[in-house]
Amino acid sequence: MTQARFAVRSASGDQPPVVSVVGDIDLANVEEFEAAMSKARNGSPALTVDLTAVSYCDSAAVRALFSIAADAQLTMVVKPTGHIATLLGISGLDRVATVVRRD
Amino acid sequence: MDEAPNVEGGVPVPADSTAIPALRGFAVRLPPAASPGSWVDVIALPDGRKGVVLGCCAEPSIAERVRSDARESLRRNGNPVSSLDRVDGLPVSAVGAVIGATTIAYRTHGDSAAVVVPDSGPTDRRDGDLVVCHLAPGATVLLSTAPIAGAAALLGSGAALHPDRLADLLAPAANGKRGVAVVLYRHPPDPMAITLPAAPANLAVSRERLRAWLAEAGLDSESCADVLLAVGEATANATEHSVVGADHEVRLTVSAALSGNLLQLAVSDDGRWKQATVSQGHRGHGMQLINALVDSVELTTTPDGTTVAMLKEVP
Repeated sequence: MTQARFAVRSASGDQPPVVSVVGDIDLANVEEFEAAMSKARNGSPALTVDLTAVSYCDSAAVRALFSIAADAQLTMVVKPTGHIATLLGISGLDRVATVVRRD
Repeated sequence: MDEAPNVEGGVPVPADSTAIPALRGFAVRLPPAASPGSWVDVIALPDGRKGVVLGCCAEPSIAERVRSDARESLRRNGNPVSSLDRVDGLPVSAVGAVIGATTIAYRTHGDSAAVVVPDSGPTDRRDGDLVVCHLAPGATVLLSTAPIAGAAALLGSGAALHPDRLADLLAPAANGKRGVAVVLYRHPPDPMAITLPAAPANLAVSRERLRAWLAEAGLDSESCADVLLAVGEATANATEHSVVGADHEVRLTVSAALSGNLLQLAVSDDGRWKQATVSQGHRGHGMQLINALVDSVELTTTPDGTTVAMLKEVP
């Protein structure tokens, strides 16, 4: 079974809420990911999603992120290299959201 | 001799680095620069075999000469014995080896050592110097300029580890000896296949099985990541569709095989989709990713199911 932990930090001052993910995201747990993002957002116009500790994610996660990016200012934090950076580039998600590359 | 090793397919190596990128399946470790006179060459021979020469000599000028003779001879003749023709009488420890589809032929000189696991014993000894051993699928070879204690046991217990990881585990034993150069090689393993019911919960199961096999095959981390994602997308697509349209429990098979530099991957299902219910949108999205990650994709649908066959050339 696909395992991931979703940590939610609420907005403080001018900092948007943050969802930090550790583990894998695929079809099996993408709904948990969506729930964590929607809980974190709680009406906020912006959301940061930290994916630096994600070991695997696929287009299920990409679809969820696209749908957030459709009506919020989405910032994703990813490692500079590796398959998530590749995934964001191929899917075009990096053109509708802000991507911060950090180790 | 502080010169970086000549490892084809590699990149320039920082002076203080001791781990050298090499051809797929190989992991190379050199002693620190403080211990000069050690070298490793891993060469792709024109006929597809791989040539390896490594050695060490306290006198760097002798090491340089032996190295260049051996490299030239290996390229010209593809013969591990003649590659070391000029070491006789010199204070050099060296190994010359040629790895083919099912065998390794090598010659050791001085203190150097060769370990093959699983070890079925030499199939041939020729010219007094040449040892030929069978290489089973997934076999591991250790060539070193001095014997490393406990190496055979470590190779045996680490048969599923990436050769780079294995080289890291060997390092403490090798570092105890001044100036040991080490080459680890993993022969391509048997193809893998795993069949599971099409269910989201099984995506992680087939992914972990593939991840382990890719490490065993010694693939670089970038190719591994591309392959995991391409196969993951194909598997997720098939899983999604089976939930939508099938009239029985659908089973998925994920398979991978390595032949030379070509990785053959397939995801097949035994579903019988009701065409109208198949979401082309989702399959299209996954297919776009798969197309970007592998070199070719072929989608075959028959009344008995769908197969996504992918080919990827790996370094």
